[in-house]
Amino acid sequence: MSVVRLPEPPSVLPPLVVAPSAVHDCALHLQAACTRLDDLGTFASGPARLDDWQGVASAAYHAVVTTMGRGADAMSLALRRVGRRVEHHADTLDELRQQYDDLARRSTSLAGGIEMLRHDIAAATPDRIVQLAPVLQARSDAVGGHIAVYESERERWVLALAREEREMIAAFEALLTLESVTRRFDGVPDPADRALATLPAPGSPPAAVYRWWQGLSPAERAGLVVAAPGVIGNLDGLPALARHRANRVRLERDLAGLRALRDRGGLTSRERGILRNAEAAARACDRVGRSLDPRTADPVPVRLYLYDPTAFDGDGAVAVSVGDPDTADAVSLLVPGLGSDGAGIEEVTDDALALYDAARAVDGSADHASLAWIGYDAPDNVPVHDGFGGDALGVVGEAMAARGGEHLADAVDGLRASRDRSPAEIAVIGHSYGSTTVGHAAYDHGLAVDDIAVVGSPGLGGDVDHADDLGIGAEHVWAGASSRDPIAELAGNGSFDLGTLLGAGLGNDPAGDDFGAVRFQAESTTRGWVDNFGDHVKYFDHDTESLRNLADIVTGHDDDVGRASGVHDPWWGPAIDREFFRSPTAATTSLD
Amino acid sequence: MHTPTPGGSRSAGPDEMSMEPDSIGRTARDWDEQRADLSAAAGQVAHAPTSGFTAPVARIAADFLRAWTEHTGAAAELSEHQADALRAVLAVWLRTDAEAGARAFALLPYLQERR
Repeated sequence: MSVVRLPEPPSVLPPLVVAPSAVHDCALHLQAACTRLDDLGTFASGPARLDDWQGVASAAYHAVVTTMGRGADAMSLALRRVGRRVEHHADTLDELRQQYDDLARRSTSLAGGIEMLRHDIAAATPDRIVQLAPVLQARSDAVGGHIAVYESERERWVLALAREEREMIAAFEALLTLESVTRRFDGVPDPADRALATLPAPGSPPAAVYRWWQGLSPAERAGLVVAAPGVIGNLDGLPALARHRANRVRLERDLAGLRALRDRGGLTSRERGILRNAEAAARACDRVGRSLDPRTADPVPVRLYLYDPTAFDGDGAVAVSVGDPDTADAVSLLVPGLGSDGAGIEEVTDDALALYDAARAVDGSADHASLAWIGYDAPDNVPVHDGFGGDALGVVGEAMAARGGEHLADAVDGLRASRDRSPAEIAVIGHSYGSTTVGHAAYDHGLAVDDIAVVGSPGLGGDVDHADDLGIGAEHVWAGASSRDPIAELAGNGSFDLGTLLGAGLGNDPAGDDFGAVRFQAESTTRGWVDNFGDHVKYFDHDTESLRNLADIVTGHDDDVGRASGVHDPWWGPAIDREFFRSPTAATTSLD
Repeated sequence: MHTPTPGGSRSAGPDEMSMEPDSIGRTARDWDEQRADLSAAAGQVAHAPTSGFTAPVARIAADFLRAWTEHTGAAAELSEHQADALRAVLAVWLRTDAEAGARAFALLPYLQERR
């Protein structure tokens, strides 16, 4: 009887229980604490010196402060080093876990291969086994070959994990005591100081900022993230990941500091506002961090692209990206309107999440990033809860949109500069008053984007008479306006329009048939019978015409965009919107 | 600003010292801020999670965090000492400066810890 030799089963993998995200979190805590030590060093060597104080007591004070400053600088460098090592450890654990999962799958599959062989051998009759033996042996040898490769890779993996553990342990042990910190870092220059000394002057073009960043060493970059997160986090021209890291450090530092003060009852009203903005930014990031890509089921990258909770007299500036603007094929910026401030970033992030999902549903072959951008000082909200007040609408002018337009143009230039080597398709989407801001950005400064889309627009500013005025070609200017949206109706349509009557219009109607933009369908199946504010805030709702069309626009599927007739303005009377009489369609914007 | 040294307390040093009480008061408050920030930082280190590490690394990570909570906490305490010391200097100055009167009134708030 022929004998088929079976290979030894694959070795079992040792258990692996790790959570790289928690390790990242640990690194973030250390880096945020590190910024405080860095601040102490700066304070002790600067304002705390009290150079105008002379005398015996002052001499003692100066001696103590100098020692404290040196100590704080050394502690900051030490904690920074460990924090960076922990961050690296988290990334390595992530890679090792992926390799582990792959090895585990292969081990199961190889063990299954042996079982199948065993089954086939057992099922064969004695006569048949003679015939089959060579074939079965060849199969067995093939499985054995795969097992040998598996064993070798398993061994390499075990050694890699052990090495990584040893190095991480050594990094912790090396800087456990203050004596070791002093020994290693006392008097050591801070690489962040070197980098800051060459920082381009305020107002420098983003391209110059990008070149500066590219010229820094890894240690200088890592140092800046911790030593100057407020400078780095919002610097146009820097890659999104660098901004994100700095902003996360600053956010963690703010949250820890302000919550500690709150718990002791010591928050001022200004600080309460800052904390509100910080907590909203943290929740928005968490929300994106919990999301999965509808195509791959992988976690969606989140980037805290802009974070200044004190900006605009405490209203705050925050931008959160759903997806990675550094690598995405297409990037869209959502510019919200009235009432948007830092504390409202969650709502805009929800819109960005919806657009991200819809864009991925429309085109799974391209990576997308959708950026919720509150980077300008928007007017406070209209009192919609009390019904529409024409007086409230009337006081909203274009001044804030004009200032916001400058910020927006800078932000887009920054994005462009940071993608110098691999340009992305960039679209800007303005909602409500945000569309006026977009109009000013394009008309006043030039907006380096591929497409401009506006939804629920009260006008793109008094100077913008035609889509061509925006400088990117009328065929790339898109307008969505629900026929039931009273804000969209504020835009100018001749002598008999609502905007003129209330004095609240902010320019010509971009959905008008003589404006020259491409009007797309934006009716909702849940629209009201008459004008209502609810239809002003449905443009990013899932399964609406509007979201589906926006997804087609940002992914470059222009031919698939559902066109709508423009609002017609007869000389003899009020504007006529044929969309009012069209039955809305139910569009699909998700893969569920 | 030039002001007399409190009598008898500086026998080993010069008889006079110069100081700007307002700077001293402001800096005391800045040290209070440093103390608050560093206390928060100590809390941040203390609450850094170790659950994501493998068991052998988690043990030393916990030791590290414990040690650095103390280091950072000690820096916070030292900052508070500086604030208290500056306040003490200011109090002495206020007590000994016969002409302090109206200025003293303006500086009194600095004697209170705000945080």
